Amino acid sequence: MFDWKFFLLHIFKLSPAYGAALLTTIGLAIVGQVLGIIIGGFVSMGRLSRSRTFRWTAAIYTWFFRGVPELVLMVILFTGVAAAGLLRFDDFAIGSFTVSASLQAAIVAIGLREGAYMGEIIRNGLQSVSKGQVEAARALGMSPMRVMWKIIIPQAMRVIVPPFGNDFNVMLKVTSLASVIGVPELFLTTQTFSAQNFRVFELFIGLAINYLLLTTAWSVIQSLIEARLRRHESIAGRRTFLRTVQAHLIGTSATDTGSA
Amino acid sequence: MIASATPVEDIQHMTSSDLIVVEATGVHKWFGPLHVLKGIDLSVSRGEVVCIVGPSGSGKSTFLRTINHLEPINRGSILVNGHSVGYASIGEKPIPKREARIAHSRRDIGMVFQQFNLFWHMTLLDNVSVGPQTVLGLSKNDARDRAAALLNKVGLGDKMEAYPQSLSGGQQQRGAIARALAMEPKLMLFDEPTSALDPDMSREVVSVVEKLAKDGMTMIIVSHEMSFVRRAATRIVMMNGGIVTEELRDIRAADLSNTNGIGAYLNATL
Repeated sequence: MFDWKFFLLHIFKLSPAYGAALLTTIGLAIVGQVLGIIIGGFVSMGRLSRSRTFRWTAAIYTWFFRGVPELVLMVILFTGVAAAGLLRFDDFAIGSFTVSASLQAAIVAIGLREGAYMGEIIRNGLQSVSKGQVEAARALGMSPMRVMWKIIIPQAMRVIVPPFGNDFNVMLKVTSLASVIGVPELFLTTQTFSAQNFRVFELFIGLAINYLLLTTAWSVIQSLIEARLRRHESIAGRRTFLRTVQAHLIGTSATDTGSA
Repeated sequence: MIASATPVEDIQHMTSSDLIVVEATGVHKWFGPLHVLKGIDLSVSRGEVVCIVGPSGSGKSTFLRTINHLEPINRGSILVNGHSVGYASIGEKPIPKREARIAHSRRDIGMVFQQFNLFWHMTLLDNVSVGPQTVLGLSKNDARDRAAALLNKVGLGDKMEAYPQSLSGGQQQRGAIARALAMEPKLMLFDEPTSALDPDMSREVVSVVEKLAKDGMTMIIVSHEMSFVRRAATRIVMMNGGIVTEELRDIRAADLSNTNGIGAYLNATL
């Protein structure tokens, strides 16, 4: 029998432990993603490098971290590496907030995994910028750094953001794997609750709704970023916030306002 | 028939080296095994409008692109206002400059492309002001004022906030010319600027170039367009097979109706 009272209380009255779990999940996803973007930037440069050594290093990195399951990576990093005496993560504190060893290992694992995916996404974006655009910028007298920041990156962003958004969506869910190495994120916390009161169905439906809220919030943010990047395609002018979100969620093209 | 735009009094105050904007000597260029430029010599003085014509594959676009070092050269030298754009030292084994130094040398040389290449992620106003602002270090307001004035000059005053995709080819090309002019270049290079345009749009672009010629801008134009030759050129250079085969300095109608050389070529491509 589904206990509605328990379910609604659980959903709408966040317990401190559950609130902390929510923050851990979001933090893990965001910090892992940022780390992944940084690594991915280097990987994409390696992939596009003139040096064969860099190209190969980046290719092997991508091959490895796209091929090994995130779960296996986390266990290797947290338990295996420590057991082998190579590297042991230790708790450390930032102010009053303690970053546990398991959370560090999870962040590193997710960052490494993201680095491989982001490397490919960024590379694809950089390669999409046409030679003519770069030449026009160079002909104006822009230095290579300026060409990169003013022309290549802004233009590549339009190609990077949609797959990046999908990737981050997957990432929000992949964080649940960190439960295996004992990171008290949403999944592990829910599991702990259910071991105490056996309301497995209610708790996990609640958890599903929680993940849906996270991925939906991200969807909305993504659609806003994409709409901003597609300003140049619209001659009808700026879209309202609501129409942008609606177009994104329902799946109509964000560019159907018409262009010349 | 075509008056030089620089007043005679000014010319007398200048030494001959002041007058020379481009000095290409023995320029060779290979693409792998393909020898595309086989020793080009060309000297262009201030205020001249040089049209380079010739069949496809003759190396004329490649030569134009070597002038601002979009294409490196393998032998010879090209001086723009007395300085090499791409090389720290010239001679048998030219030593290339650092990219940032090359970028600095390109400021004085404007370039207009066949495919316009306006930055599609920027409005027209941003396209024209981005150079002065980021490269020349003008304040945002000054750069925008300069860009707005130039866009008005090329007849795009009402399109400043438009993105390139919403403009016609002719409008885009005029915008691209304004973008190049915003750097206040001493030399303008045009790489087949009307080849991607229909005749009406071509005419818009030609009339802008003609105005520039009247203002005394030094220009090198690679084009098949007869109207450039008729209305703006002070000299025609014919290239074929990687060398300059013919030059016509004083352009008269009689020369253009000639049945040999440049005259024949231009009449055939008309």
